[in-house]
Amino acid sequence: MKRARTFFKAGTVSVPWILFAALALTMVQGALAQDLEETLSQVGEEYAVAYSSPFLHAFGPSLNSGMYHTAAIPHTTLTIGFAVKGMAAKLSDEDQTFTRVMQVDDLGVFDPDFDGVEGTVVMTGPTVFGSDEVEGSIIGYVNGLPVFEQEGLEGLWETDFVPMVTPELSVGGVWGLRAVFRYLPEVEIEDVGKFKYFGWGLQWNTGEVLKNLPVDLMVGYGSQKLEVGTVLETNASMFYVAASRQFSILTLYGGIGFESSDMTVTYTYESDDLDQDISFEVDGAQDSRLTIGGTLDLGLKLNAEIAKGSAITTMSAGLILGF
Amino acid sequence: MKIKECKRSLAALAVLALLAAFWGCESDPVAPHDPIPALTEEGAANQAAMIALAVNEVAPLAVDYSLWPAAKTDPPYQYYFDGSDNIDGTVALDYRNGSPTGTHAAVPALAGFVTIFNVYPEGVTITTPLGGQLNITATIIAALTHGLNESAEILTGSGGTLEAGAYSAVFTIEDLVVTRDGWPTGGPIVFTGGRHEVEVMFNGTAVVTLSLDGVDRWTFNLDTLTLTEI
Repeated sequence: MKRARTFFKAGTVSVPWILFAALALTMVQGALAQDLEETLSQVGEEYAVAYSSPFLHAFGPSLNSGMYHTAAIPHTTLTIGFAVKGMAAKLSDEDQTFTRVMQVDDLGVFDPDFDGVEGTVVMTGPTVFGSDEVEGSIIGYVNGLPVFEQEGLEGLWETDFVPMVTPELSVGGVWGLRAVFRYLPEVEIEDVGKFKYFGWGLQWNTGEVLKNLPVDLMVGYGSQKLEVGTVLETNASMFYVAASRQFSILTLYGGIGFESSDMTVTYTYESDDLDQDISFEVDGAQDSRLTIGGTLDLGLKLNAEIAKGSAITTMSAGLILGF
Repeated sequence: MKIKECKRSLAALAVLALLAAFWGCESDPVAPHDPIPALTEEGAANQAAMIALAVNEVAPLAVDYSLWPAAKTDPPYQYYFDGSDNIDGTVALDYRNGSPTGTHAAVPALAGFVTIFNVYPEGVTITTPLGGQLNITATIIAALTHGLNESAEILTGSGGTLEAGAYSAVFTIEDLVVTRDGWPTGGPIVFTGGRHEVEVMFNGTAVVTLSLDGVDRWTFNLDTLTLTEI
């Protein structure tokens, strides 16, 4: 009971701070989506998919990170926790540039002067996370000779990390169950629409069934959805098995997860002739991950983990207040 | 108790080692990196033809002495192509006495040799028949003949590069003779791009012959800019 009072005293100071941080991040993520929409409006679908591919493929795995920081869940004691979780997908160096080659029957799709002419189109340049000082290009070729060249896009944000921060609430301690919620309040972003984010998860500790194990063991599932107006919608989900063991103030944990994610991008391509509504969906590149991490309990819990995925390496750290 | 502590330490160390190992793990690239399609035989012929076009425009400058002042104290001379005749850019001409590296010739019309080279790194820009553009850099070394048969013979060691968007190629020129007003004769220009080597031969007319692997395969008309398969 005493611990609970201490927590709520701390919580009155910390929870607004958590929300403030989350809201600030909402604005940043919304602004990125807004920039992305404005940028993509200059190019067609093929270029847009290739240009934004690191964002499309890495954001889902990033969302699926930091889903747990221990496998220990009480069976008869109510626990509540507030957390701020920061996640980042570490991109390959090669993801700062792209080259997309297409053999096309009709170059007129790209340049009306070449209506009905067969040829090759090479799109190349920085990706959304590439250099903002280099401009991409779209070059059409007929029999080895360039016949037209159009300007592509510069990078939006030169980085090899795709970061995200989210507040998290967890409630559990009954029958070894714990529910996890991730949520950001809806925010209206000018010219883009409402930013919405909600995620939930359910975890179950196997202690009642598998007794006398040297480690705590749990299984869990999480699902999340992030929308930025009509521009962007991401879904991510993961089923996982995790184990942990406490050593004094340090809990070491690890787990394996099976995941999926997708992202839908919708925008208007403002070409010279007429505006064209474009929408495409891309599945996340990752289907599994192996996670290891540690949680330090100093009253306030701090955790850090790294996950080697089937495609993407992600990192996560969290600040957890709870009892 | 000590064994227990030791086990705990080992477990912690193992996790730290795993963390360190994971830290070094690179993500797989997810952005597309499609290979550029290999240059086709016809593509190589087209690019070689564009080099022939450029050489036909640039090399005759060597013997057009009317372009230059009678005497110039700070050689080399520069000539700017303004985009007409499908070529845009600036080249420099360095006239020498005795050898390509001899003393500067005070008067081009009396020089023994000339070296023509691009002033800017991108070289000259060629506008292709369908409207695209490519860049050619080159160094052309020529021996000059004066008198009734005013001409320049391009010497071994001449050549350059072609950049056509994602494609690049190299070429050499030798035994090619140019005059001020007529079409060039001789050659070859040897073009190497991708897996192909194309030789271009001039015959004093507007039509040059392009061969692949020793077999004449195409002609290119320098006047109409058309490539025709033989």
